[in-house]
Amino acid sequence: MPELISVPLQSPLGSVFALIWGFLACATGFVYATFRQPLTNLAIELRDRIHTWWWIVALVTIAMALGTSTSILFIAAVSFLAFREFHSVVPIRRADRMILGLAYIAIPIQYYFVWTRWYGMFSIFVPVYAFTLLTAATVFVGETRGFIRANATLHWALILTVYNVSHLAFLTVLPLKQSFAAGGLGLLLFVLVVVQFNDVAQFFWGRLFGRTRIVPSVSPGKTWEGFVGGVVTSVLLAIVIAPRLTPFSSAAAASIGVLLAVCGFLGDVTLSAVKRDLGLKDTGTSLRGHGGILDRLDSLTLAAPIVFHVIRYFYGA
Amino acid sequence: MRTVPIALRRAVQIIFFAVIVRPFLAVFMGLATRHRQNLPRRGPAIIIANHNSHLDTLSIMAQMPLGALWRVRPVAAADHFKKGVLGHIARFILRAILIERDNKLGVKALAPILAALDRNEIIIFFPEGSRGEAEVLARFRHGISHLVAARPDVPVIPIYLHNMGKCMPKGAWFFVPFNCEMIVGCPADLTTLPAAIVPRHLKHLIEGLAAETSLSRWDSEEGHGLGDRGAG
Repeated sequence: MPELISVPLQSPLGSVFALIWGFLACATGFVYATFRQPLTNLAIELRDRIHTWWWIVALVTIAMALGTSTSILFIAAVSFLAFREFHSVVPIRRADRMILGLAYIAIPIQYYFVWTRWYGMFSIFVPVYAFTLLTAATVFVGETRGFIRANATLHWALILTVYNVSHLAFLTVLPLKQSFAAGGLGLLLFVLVVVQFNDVAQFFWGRLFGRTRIVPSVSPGKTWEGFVGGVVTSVLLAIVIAPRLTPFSSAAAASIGVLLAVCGFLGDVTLSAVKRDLGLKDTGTSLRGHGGILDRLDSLTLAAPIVFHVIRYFYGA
Repeated sequence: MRTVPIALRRAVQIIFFAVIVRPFLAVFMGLATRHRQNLPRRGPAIIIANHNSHLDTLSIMAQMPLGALWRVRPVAAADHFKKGVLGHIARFILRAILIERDNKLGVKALAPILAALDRNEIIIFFPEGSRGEAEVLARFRHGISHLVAARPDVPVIPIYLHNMGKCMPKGAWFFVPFNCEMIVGCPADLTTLPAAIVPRHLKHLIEGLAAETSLSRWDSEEGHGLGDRGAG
């Protein structure tokens, strides 16, 4: 029995998961301990958020504990949900229903290329093949009113929720110059933890010290104080967990930490702009306290391909 | 088919919903229900909803507790569901009440529905009469006013369904995933309304429920359907 617990804890991934579960438990305890009846709206939102975090962390732990294939499948499912969510809040033309049906087929194909480690097709399938075929199909539907916007929306969504997000999955199978204990799953967990924790840290520092708004017309809650606090926190976290999960030196971990925090922020405000455009607060209701899948995934959508290529350039075989 | 024991048919119905319909709705339609507490728990009751897709009936029935499913009776058009695979599913698994869409029959066509209400069953009724154009709310017909006039004490619960007509509209031969929403209203108070006004009033209630959704409508069709969440 002790082996059942001690072996996973000594593994690099296991130790970081233990850290995450521990942190979540502390955060839960802290939030519940500071609750005063009657609950304020902020308290209710925090409670719901943490409640949903338990589910997310549990699912990610299970998917990654089962290995690379289930991790890829998990990210593919997230892509599907995000793509569906996007097209459920953005108006599409009646004529494009069939095109959207076709676009869904790109999701299993893209993740098939991840699963078979076919880097060439993985990196061009969406921008070259899916782009060409879907654009051509839209022409043959024959509806020219709103043609540009319909195409722009479809391909933008496909890049954001399928192509970009699939880079998270390819991290798990990326061939590297030197092998290390945690392997590709370590890289994935590193990116997930730093980007998501950066979100939490930005929120936390922003609420404590936030004064100067960055882009008030897009996201009034985002402040320079929160942003800088987030970057610093992310760098520290990256330095702490990098030796367990990645081959990065401390300096490299710090740089990638900055990159992840900045791109995470950019993805976050990009989706905020989308929501503003649609007049929505959240993109969905599937994650209580957070909103929809995209409300949680937003910060990863721009960070994933950038950090993937930085890692591939410096560490890839 | 008459010889199939009821216990077996109930089991088939429960398995169909628990194993096929509910997982399908969750995975491919992300169906979210607002104000689920307004759903009737026991009959007699009439659920009315806007109608755009064969998925409508399945979505509403899937929200009912499995144990109560047997008493839920969707009303379907006899001309459409008498034969074929869909007809078999509608009659033997969903236990649809088939009625003739023939104006000559008049109120008599509704007799099987009244009989079901008298057996304390829960009726699912689509006042538009057919699925019509995808995600567009058509005029409510007068069938519903006859039902309300004949059974004034039976509660009428309006439901607004969003996006089922995008997933699988009339005439479509393939399914496209969209997030779907079901918004359940409070039982309608129709006691003081003249019969002629009832369909318009119920349509108005469903339009009110429609305003709650944050999901999009078709692009560039403002003023064509419900609400005004068209082109931005």
